[in-house]
Amino acid sequence: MKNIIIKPTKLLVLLMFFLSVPLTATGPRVSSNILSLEKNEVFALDLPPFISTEADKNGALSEIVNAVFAEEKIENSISIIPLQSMIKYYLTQDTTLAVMGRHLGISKEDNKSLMEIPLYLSNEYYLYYKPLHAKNLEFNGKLSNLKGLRYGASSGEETAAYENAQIKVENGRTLSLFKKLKKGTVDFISMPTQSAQWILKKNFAHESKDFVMMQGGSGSVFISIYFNLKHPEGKTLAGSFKKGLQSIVTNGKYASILEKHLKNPDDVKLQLEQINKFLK
Amino acid sequence: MKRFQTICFYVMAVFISSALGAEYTPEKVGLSSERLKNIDTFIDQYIDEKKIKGAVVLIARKGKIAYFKASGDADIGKPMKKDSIMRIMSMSKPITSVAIMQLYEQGKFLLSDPVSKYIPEFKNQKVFTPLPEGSGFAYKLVPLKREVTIRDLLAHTSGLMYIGIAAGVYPNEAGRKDMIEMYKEAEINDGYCRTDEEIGDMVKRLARLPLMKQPGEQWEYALNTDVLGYLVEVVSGMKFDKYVTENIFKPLQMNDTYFNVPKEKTARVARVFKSDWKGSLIRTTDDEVLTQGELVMCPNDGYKTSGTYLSGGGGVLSTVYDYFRFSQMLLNGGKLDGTRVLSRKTVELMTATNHIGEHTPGLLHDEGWKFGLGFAIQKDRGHNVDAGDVGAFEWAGLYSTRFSVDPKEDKITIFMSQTTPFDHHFELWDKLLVLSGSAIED
Repeated sequence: MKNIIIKPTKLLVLLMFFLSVPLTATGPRVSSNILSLEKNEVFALDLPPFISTEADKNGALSEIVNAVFAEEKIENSISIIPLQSMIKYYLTQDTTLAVMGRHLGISKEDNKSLMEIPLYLSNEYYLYYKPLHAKNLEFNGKLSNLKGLRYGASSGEETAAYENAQIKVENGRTLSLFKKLKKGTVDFISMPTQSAQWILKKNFAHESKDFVMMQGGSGSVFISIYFNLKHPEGKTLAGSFKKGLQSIVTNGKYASILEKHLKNPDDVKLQLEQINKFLK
Repeated sequence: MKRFQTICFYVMAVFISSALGAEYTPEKVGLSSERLKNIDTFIDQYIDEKKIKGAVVLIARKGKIAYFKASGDADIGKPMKKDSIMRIMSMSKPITSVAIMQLYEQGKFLLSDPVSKYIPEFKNQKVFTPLPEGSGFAYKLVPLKREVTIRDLLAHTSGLMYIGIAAGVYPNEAGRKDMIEMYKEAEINDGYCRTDEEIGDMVKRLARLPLMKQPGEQWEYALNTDVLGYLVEVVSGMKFDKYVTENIFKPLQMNDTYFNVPKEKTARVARVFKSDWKGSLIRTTDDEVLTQGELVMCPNDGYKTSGTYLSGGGGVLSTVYDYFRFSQMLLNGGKLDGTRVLSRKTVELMTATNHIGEHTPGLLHDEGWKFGLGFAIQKDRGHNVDAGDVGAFEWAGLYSTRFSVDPKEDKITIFMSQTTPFDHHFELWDKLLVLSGSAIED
């Protein structure tokens, strides 16, 4: 057996190596630089099942946005936020690359420095809580039929039409609007069908039948990503995003993600029509 | 045969009396019976003056109960009993902290781990920074200097808040009002009223709001322990109530401790009374919601026999005797009646006084105290709040419950009433600790 003899100089080098190792090798160290993804952060407003930390891959639209960025080989992260007021804050920051969601409260002034890229056309319906309304609420396409009632609007939603129809408006977060319906502090709300189904299943499973959808859709709203043109790379990255979106629509990824999450082939067909119209 | 039966009878008698928390002659554990009697008079005076409706007090030394007495009423026409069940509110926090430390001992995580490693919603947090009036926006959100760690949650240095803590308690209050509005808008619940959601739902929303302070920069009593309760669920894969039942309550034979009291025991739950400390004592009604500033409490949620909102910061109901068993386990270095719940080294870590650096846990305590991993610890004796010894550790609950463990004197003091508001409680508690300490005779 060969004797292992280490010369003093080598020993010193080895010793210095071992002395330096424990500084970094005794366990995870918490610092913002190794854990935070601050590059190309998109701030998104919670809206299950489209955008939600509760949903697989953070929801259908989060997965689509990540797929588009990946297609263009752009690193990104999505921070999902529960409050519209925080999205409003990020809209005012030059350092924000993009925000996404529904009813973000974007003013005409804000809009001048944003580039909107629609991701999904949400067809919405009015809902009310049947046990508190012995007489069914009827919309039938006319807001005047709901005069005198109280509408639960999403924070950031444009509500002039309701006020003009003498309908009182109260704001709230998506889930809290359902709670307000049940409590009777609002009479009706407007919600994407998929969001209503998700929330009722998760939070009101035993009484989901008490939440009734009115006849006639309440309208269509785009759920979009808005690039901030004041951001140094906002315009360029918005262009890349649009190109990437075109690619994943063409290669079928957009449709397959929607199908996986929403399980509604008719809706996917409708969305493809809409997105192709936009991309033309 | 007869002799065998007699022996069996005595063995059973000893077992039963031990199970019910047999009391020992105080002198046998170095306490004065005569001096402990002063506690009877002391508590009765508060009851006679209608400051509290009733109370249960327990003092134990050297592992033995030397004083255990129920006084007054648990409700109108219903005497307080030693086994009355109380809402222990924030005395839930040490239980949750023990649960977390058990998982720590199993190597599930390090205390230095970022919380985001287990609850991803904590990633990319920002810190609220108020801007001067006239700025375009009322605040700005700045990146973290470092992420919130599990140790921050245990020691209350995360930068999270409680909505209900009165203004003026903490320094650098600027922006607190805006932050409270954000918490409310996001339907963050301090945990004193049960909601129909799960604790994880609230925690995930909370994590995506800004922090009030940079992690580690301020000691602030906050929703940290509710986050820890959810962390127990994430790491153990068990619902929080099931975890603590299987790993703490059952091994310690805390047979009357629950998040949701079973139906057959709800009659034992003491009623919360509102006291102005001047002789007006009003029974809370079944659906009463108490408010004090931003603090919102639903005391009679405590009668609910089911619920999903398992608040690690304030959701537990227990008895004085059960909490004595929990406290004795801590005093014994993690073990009770041969059952080890924590290691001695972990209890030493939890009761170490250097977790919060230069900060002071200025809510129940003040200068001379530090906060460990789940409770406050007395560091020196040169200040106003004195528990009788350096190294004594304690915490309290919002409906006037409190416990103190004095390792040096091998002594435990527990007081429980169900009285609100909490503000008046300090004088009673401080005096009770004086009576408890001055009964030491060896």
